[in-house]
Amino acid sequence: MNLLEVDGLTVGVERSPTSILANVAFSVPEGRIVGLVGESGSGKTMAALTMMGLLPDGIEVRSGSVRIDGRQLMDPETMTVERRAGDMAMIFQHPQAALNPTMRVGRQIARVFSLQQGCGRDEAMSLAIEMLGRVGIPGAGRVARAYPHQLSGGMCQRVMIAMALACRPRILIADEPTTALDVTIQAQIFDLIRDLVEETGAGVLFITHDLAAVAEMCDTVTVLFGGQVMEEGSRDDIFRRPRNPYTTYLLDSVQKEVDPHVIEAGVDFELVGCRFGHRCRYAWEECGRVPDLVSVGAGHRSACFLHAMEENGAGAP
Amino acid sequence: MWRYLGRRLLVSVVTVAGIVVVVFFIMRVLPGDAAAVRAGPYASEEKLEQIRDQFGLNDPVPVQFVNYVRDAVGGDLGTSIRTGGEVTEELLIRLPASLELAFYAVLLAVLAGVPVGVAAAARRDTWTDRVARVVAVLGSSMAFFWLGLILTFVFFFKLGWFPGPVGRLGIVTQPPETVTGFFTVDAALARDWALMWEAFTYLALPAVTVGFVLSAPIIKIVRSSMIETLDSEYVRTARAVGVSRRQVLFRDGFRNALVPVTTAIGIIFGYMLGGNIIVELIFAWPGVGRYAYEALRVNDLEALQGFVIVVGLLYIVLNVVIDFVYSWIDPRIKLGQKVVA
Repeated sequence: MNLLEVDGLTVGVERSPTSILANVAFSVPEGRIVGLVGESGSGKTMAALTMMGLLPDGIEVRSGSVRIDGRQLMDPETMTVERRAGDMAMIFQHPQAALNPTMRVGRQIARVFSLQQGCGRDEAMSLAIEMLGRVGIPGAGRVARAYPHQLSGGMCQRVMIAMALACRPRILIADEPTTALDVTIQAQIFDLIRDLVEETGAGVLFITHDLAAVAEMCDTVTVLFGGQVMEEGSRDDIFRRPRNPYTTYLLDSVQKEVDPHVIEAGVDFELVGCRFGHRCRYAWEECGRVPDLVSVGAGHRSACFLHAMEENGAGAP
Repeated sequence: MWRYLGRRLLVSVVTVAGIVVVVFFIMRVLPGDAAAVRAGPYASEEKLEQIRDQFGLNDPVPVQFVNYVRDAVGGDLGTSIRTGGEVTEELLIRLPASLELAFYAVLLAVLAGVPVGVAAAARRDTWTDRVARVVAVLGSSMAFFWLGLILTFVFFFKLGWFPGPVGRLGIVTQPPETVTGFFTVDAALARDWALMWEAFTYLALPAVTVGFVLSAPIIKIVRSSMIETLDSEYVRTARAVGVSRRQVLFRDGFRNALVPVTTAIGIIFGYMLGGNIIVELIFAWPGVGRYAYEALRVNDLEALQGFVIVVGLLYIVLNVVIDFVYSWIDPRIKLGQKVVA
């Protein structure tokens, strides 16, 4: 059963026809890790911020729904997500920048406990220290008294995770949680997230541009480009049987060891029709319209006009 | 901390030495003859010579310098050629007047400027913000003398709510016994509440005049640094975990904006240390600014030198205080850094 369901999410810049997210849909089942992948500027973080109700000024939700356990979080009047405590928590890309520099980390976690459970200062602090221990921080009592700048990036990310867990979230959104960390720390953080999923049964939305991380972590994957969902399926579907030209391109960029910066080329997409159109080697007139997601296998869907051609017996290109 | 203070003390000695040298030699090249001012317009040449001898103005400049430094180290900043009094003593009498005015003016500016700046940042691009920005522009384009005169005209002359611009207290009032030199504080220490109230009423108009003008830069800096912190990732984190809007605004936003705000307050206070000459003239405030102005008018070399040196010393003290405030408000700024993990 799906714990989180996002449907038809369209987000744009105020007073501009441009959509940052166009009709984005994905879901996260209980106890599963769902990858949201795409290059920089594909709308991954925007999707997360929309779900958290933390969109920056000047960005508006135009339509869509965000449901947890079937409960609608999107307020139809204000078009903002009204979360309840414990619905969702998020860990961010730059752990050091995401922690208040003038507040001891223990206090920052304890503050969440006070908010969520209404407990007193001392009790909240002991819960915070306990939580720091749970995310694998040795000497939690000492670390709790440290300021973020006195801790390493990996430590800060553990603190961030402890803070997120203090919310007891049903859904944990991890927005590139290891991009700012080195590889050994990355493995530790991944292990930690996996353990926590097992322990708490929370669903994880794992946002990244790192395909290796996706292959390692995720049960299912949603591929995003230019604010459109290009393809979604199980990890094996995406990595072994990719059907969408963009997914193939994305995988090639890693496997054929082309310049890794291709995937980070920056924002470069069409604003009408298929957003990958101008970079796609199969593109033809049809791609001036937006392709729908069509089923290309059990639990495997892709948005491309090629699939319709294949069905009509035109043959794969 | 003691190492820091020791290092600062050493640097300060060099700084003060630099101030003394520069000020001394600049004063020597200023045009004008102090002796002529002291002796009056009809003095004979012999009389002038006698005064020059008396004040050491006939000695070679290096000798004058050595004598001056020798006396200054002992706390003797020389004799005012205008009043004939000891410069050190005259400055020490006037300094508390300037500092008291500066203190209350900066206090008013902070009390007014910080809330306005915070509100403007919290409600960016709304009417609150626009009004705050207009007030800031108004304040920074306001002339002290104009505002001072208008306030005096309205609140003393027309309404009679506040006393006239005759200084720190009424002409017949005895000042309180000197402890700090701040009349409001000394009156309170003497438990003379009526006198304290009187001191406040005399302070009100000049302090409001200066405070209004100084609130403008505070509004601007509070607003801009608050906008920066409110857009930061840690504020987003706090909002993500459900911290209340009020706590986000003050504990995450304002607290982290304090360093630039402190810098601004420090600069403003430093600017006020030398006394505000125009305001002191308008309100007949017996401070060091007016003293320096009078000294400058008549080429009173030692009085001016003393003034510059004392203000320089205060500046150094102020900077040390600000350094301590920095390290107190931001754990990343340390007098001596230590890393935990």
